[in-house]
Amino acid sequence: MNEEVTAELHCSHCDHETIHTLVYAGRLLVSTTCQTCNSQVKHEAIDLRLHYLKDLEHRISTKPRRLWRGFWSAPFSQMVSFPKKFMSQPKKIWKEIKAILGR
Amino acid sequence: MDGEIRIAVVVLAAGSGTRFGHTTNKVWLPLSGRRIISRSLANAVKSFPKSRNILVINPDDAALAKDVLGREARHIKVEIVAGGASRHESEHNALMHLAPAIEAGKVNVVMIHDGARPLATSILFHDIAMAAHHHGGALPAIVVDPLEIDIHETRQIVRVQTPQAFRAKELLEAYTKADRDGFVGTDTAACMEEYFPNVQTIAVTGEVTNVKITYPQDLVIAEHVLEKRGYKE
Repeated sequence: MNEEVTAELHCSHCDHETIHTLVYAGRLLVSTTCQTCNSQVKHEAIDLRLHYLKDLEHRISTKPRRLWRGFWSAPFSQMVSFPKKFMSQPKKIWKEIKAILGR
Repeated sequence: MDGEIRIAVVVLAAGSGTRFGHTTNKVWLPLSGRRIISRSLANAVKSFPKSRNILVINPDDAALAKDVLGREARHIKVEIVAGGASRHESEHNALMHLAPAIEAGKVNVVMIHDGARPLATSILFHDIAMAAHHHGGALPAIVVDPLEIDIHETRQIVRVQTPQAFRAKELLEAYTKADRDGFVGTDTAACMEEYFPNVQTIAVTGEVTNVKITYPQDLVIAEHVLEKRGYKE
């Protein structure tokens, strides 16, 4: 999943559709920033950290099932991509933690 | 009403397209691990194992749609239709795509849902479809305190949501006539009201959580709702 995405959303400060930058950590939205007025929407820091921990726990606990489903539906492509995905996990999680702690 | 319900589910996702390096149409944004549109689509079709499922997209999003549906909605058989410049035009395109099936009686109810509403539950979709099948049309509505609008307002005010469902033949005819007359409705119900004012449209109690992703705050709310639901629906 992308860590940073831009999308048009309605900015309550500008009161019209503007381009926003959205930052994600894993499945969680960390913040949205209006590129026009810089107004930001984000989770409360403690709330987000707790959410992230719960979410990470959920992702880890459901990973075997998701992996199995992936292998079942597309065995060849999963076998090819699995080593790369596996090796990239620590870096991915480290980047998520940095996004949460460093915002 | 003719016996069994044969439904087509239309999910609208044809906002401004996603071009490489530019902004993403909000329906393709991630929401708790899946794209908003995948969640909308999955909830919409859950109660209807035999439905025809139409996803209306901006042609610029065709490659993205193929990729996302392949990963997140593999179990759903989806027909892709190119949308138009307005919501009305997108609905019209979807109905023209379904026209042969509607005319042959293979589809007798069409349900149209806004792809930016990922939290509508499968129960709501089921209730709307059944009410439309029995009465002619149905939409979800939430009663709003009139004082929120105007302190002198005394009439009852409702906020209308999607999914909206109608009997297929009348809906197709309404959109064909609207195309001929150049009429553009704000939503599905507006077009039906214009051409079939006598078709009974039932207001089903909507869901407060059925938010349309519009503001950045809506994404945060949606994440919380999904977490409370255990990421199911």
